[in-house]
Amino acid sequence: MSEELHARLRQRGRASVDFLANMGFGMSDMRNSVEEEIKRIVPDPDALPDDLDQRDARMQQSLGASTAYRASQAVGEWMATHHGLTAKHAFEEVRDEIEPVLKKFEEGGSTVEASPDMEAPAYWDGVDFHRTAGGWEEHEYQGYIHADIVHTRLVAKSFPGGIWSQRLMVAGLAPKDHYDKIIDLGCSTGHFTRALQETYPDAEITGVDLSLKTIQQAQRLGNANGWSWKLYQRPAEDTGFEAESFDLAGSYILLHEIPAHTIKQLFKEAFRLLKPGGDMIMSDVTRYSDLDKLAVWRADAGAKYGGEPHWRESASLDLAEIAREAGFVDVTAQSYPPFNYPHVVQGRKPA
Amino acid sequence: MNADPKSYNKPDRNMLLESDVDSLAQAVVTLTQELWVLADRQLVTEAVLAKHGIDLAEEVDLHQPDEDLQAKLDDRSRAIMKRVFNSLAGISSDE
Repeated sequence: MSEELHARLRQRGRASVDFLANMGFGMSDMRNSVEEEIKRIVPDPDALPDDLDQRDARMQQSLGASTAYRASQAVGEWMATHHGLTAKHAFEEVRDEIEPVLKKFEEGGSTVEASPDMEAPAYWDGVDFHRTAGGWEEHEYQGYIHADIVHTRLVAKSFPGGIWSQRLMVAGLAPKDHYDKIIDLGCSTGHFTRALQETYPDAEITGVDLSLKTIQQAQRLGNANGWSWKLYQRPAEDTGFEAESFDLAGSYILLHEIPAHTIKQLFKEAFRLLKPGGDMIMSDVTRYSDLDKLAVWRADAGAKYGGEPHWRESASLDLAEIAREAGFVDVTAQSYPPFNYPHVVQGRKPA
Repeated sequence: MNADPKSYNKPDRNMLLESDVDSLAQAVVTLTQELWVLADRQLVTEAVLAKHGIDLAEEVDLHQPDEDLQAKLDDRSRAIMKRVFNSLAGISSDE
């Protein structure tokens, strides 16, 4: 985030956001108590039911007797429903000061092409991803609110491994030192787009996302840094661009926000878009196959209460297999320690 | 695809039971005490500074904490949360 785009929150908003940022630490005793209870009721994770719904029912029934668990759920629900509202209120306190800056960076080499007549897909339309109040399009500056307040001041403070360094690491995994044309599929507010641009400074970058509000923020980020990104409000699985237009096609944590059949479409679209010999690099959340049954339950329950309707089916997929089915060769898949995150799939379109 | 992804907007969730009401009341009172201590301090601070001709409110509103103050603020907020959340969870706390 460019410093000029970083809002100077007023005391109420700043302290309210800081409160949310510190909640994980404030809940530590409560969480430790829940962990002790889990150890007691699940001595052997392998004995948990295979079926994920049955597994959750078993866990909920057993943990329902724990006061600490019930309390942690109540506090977690408050976080889920209040993070977006708190961020929005903090923004409104400084709107008069920051709005001219936001408008200024809507001009420049980075451009946005909106698609007002786009038929939004059912997997996305009306879904409050991450339980964001009102969804991605509710607020005029929702993209900014999330990039500057939710991502930078909340998520980045405590996300294991660091959300910026992980994106840079993944961008650097692409096999060539130089790419002329890159497409960021599901670019959102431009965090991964930035990592790609910083890694390949001379590349011409195109980004697509269903959310207009988020790509408008990507535009500001691009312009604030003097980059010329071409940003389009289009589905990543059906971009409409000419075949063989790009040298590198990438995405970062898009896949768990779309259902399985759309993920398969996305890989096919990436293959279509790449020039012969072009590279693909897709990153997403930890595979359920890399986790034991208890860890899968934690991830699955987190998705259920965290506004992630497609996480389960997405995290259950073998992405390397899907990449091969789409036509990619030399496909590799790797999950990075210590959290098996991110899970990175790479492949190449045959020359 | 999930039959109704919008059902994730407001999922059913098992949270507190009737039997948790006593703990909840303890937590609410603890929180009220903390709020009052802070409100009292703020009002007293503003009154003391006003005696010296200083209008603090706007300056506080605009102040951006430096690293040391931010660390102090983080420590205090986490301690307050622990007191409240531990009360809610029925966990004894020394703080």
